[in-house]
Amino acid sequence: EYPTMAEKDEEQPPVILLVGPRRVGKTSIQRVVFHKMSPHETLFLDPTGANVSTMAGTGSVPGGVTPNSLVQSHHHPTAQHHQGRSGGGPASAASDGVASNSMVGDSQFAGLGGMGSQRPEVSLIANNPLVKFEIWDLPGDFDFSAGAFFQNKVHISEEEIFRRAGALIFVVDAQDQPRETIELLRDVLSRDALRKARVPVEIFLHKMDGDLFQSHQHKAECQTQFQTEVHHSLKDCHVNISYHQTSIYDHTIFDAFSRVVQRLVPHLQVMEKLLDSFTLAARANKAFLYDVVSKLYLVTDSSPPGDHTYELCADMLDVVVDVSCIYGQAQRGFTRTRASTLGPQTPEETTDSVEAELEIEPETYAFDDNSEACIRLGDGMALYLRAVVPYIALVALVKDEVPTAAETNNQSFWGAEVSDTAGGQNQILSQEALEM
Amino acid sequence: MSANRKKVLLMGKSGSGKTSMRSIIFANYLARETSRINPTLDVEHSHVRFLGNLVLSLWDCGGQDTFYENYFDSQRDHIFPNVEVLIYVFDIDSSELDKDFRYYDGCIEAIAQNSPDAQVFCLLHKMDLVQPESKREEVFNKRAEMIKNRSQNIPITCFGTSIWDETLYKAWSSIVYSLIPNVSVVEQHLNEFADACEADEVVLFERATFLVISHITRKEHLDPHRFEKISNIIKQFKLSCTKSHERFAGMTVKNRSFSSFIEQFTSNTYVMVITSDSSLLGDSTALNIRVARPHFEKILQQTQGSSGSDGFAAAGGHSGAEE
Ligand SMILES: Nc1nc2c(ncn2[C@@H]2O[C@H](COP(=O)(O)OP(=O)(O)OP(=O)(O)O)[C@@H](O)[C@H]2O)c(=O)[nH]1
Ligand SMILES: Nc1nc2c(ncn2[C@@H]2O[C@H](COP(=O)(O)OP(=O)(O)O)[C@@H](O)[C@H]2O)c(=O)[nH]1
Ligand SMILES: [Mg+2]
Repeated sequence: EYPTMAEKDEEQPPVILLVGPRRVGKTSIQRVVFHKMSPHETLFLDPTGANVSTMAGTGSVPGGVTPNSLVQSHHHPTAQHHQGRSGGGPASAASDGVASNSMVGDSQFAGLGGMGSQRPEVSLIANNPLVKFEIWDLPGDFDFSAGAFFQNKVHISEEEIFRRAGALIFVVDAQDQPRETIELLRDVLSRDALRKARVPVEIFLHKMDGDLFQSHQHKAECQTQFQTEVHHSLKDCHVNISYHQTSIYDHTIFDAFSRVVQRLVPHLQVMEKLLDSFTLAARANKAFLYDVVSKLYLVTDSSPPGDHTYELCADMLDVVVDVSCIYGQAQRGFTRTRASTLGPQTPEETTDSVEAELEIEPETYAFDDNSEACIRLGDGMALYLRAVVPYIALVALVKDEVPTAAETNNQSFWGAEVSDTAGGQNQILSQEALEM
Repeated sequence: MSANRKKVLLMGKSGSGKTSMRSIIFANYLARETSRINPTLDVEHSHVRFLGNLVLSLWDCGGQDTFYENYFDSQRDHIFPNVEVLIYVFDIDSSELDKDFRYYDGCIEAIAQNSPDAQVFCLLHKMDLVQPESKREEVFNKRAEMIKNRSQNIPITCFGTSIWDETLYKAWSSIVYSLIPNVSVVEQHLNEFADACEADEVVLFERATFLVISHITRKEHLDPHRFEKISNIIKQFKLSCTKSHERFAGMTVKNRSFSSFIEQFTSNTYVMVITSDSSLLGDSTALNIRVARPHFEKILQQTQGSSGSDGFAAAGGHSGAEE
């Protein structure tokens, strides 16, 4: 229905637009999900589009590169060494291991003068063969009709912005909704360019935490109220809208962002079928494919998740990555292992070349093709994790026994599926899926 | 007071974070939940069973001015005698350093008079508020120096802590370590166990808090903070299991260069075994853990027993892992 990453121009990864009034938490969301910032550290964030020199002074990441100007990617670990798994949610994982891979610009904006609020902060996310997109964090008073400005005074028109947009996330402060919220939303949703490009709109009812939102009921009420308001004031607006309740202090922001990113994953249905056959063969309750770096899940099987399944699986990934970063750094990543005498001599040419295209530095990840974990829970349940493709992990909740090697160790199978996504041929794969 | 009951004083100005840290370490709070904690009124007592037989009697002394007057005056003979450990918490971000130091001086003086053998730990807390992170070490060193200079020759140990990272576990592991009797005996046996497993590292955690009790390192490791990181990681995961009505029973994690096992060990401990051979199927490690279990159960009980060190002779001689 919507264009996916593969269908869009190779050189122009799709863009996820982060839109909303000032101080609703757009930058925080981006930092927590993609830069491993601990939620409480977002308290120190400066407003997006603020004077560059003050931003540099506070140690935050000043954004802004020309979109898609993939000159060179700086590896920029925003995660701080001792900041780590805060008592908060899964957001704060893997302090020194998993770092961000954003494009980080510096003070190229001196000459832009008053253009600050028209300047999105851009991050390129390219963690594995399935995940490649840009996030444009738009300042609160961004004016679409004026277009966006980037370094070297590159200007991009409103039409172009929406043409490249794979999704538009509109963030609403659930704790405090200023009147402008609805007006801003109406302004965005009624733009011709947005409708013409059929950009799906995801509304994040954000900051659903703290004393105001202790129960599910409070959250649901808030959403109903907001939806009603949107309905009343935007009657004539024929746009596809989905709602998500989010907070950076728990897993909800990861869950919501996963669903947004899934729209951009190529061949989602095929992969979902593959997971369905896996759960059947391995007698798993639920299975996910995770992007190890961002901890977003890209695919899950079609069975309904239990109340906390997603959370537990995401937390397991956290544990595995964190523990591996501490003890598993001797031979690092997929490429380094080739020189080592340890381990079986599996053909690594494919993984090698795949890695070359990714925007991550293997040294920081202690996640390799032998990564595997099992966490035993009570009642014979267990969480099982296995690396299937570079930086993609299969995580499953299983009962009684962990999957056999034959059921999961089928790397060529998962690998073929993923490498094929670029070419877009999947007949062979569906056949293999049936054999599982 | 019985030999296994240890009186621990938690003192420091109001809002410095005493109740928060105790709730995280001993009562399964998440860091963000501490914003709901109300100021402590007077002294709040809690008794925490640790390693089975050891009871930490925590005196959380509310830090508002009026309470302090009482602590130093009418309640003096109630609060300061028989103290094993004094934990004094400084809010690193406090704007009233003078007052902080005045109270600190008072506590040190009262401790020197009433419990001269008490160990003193100073926690420079809320280090997360020192931004950017690169400044933290300097700020910590400077403040620690000031504190040492006014501690009247009483030896003190300083830690920089924050509820938002693993530094809290580092500090509290050191504190409880200082309270465990005969921990060297356990260490000795753990050493033999590590040899039998051909492990790079073996770490013993207390079951409920996941604080580190003891560790054996047979292969050098570059990260000095790894133990408290693991404590934090596993404790968080245990909490998330509880929330999902699941129970954490143990885990294995490996990649090309290592295998790790975390298992319940004795009734009050977990053990972590790290090996660098990932081709090992892990069965042997699991077996070693199982074999060593009853042996360590006995050792831990004996060392924690009120009779003190004579448990060693009975337990010595055989190592579970070798049998
Ligand atoms: N930023 C930050 N805040 C903290 C930290 N530790 C505790 N706090 C916050 O500090 C506030 C006061 O904490 P309490 O634990 O009630 O302080 P207290 O020392 O027990 O205070 P009294 O009981 O009045 O003596 C709470 O809102 C905590 O969330 C920390 O490490 N960093
Ligand atoms: N309680 C709560 N606060 C949040 C959440 N997300 C962001 N914030 C806070 O909201 C404030 C504004 O965030 P920022 O990201 O700068 O907003 P932006 O202007 O939309 O980019 C910061 O102080 C954040 O710490 C959330 O989920 N819950
Ligand atoms: Mg208190």
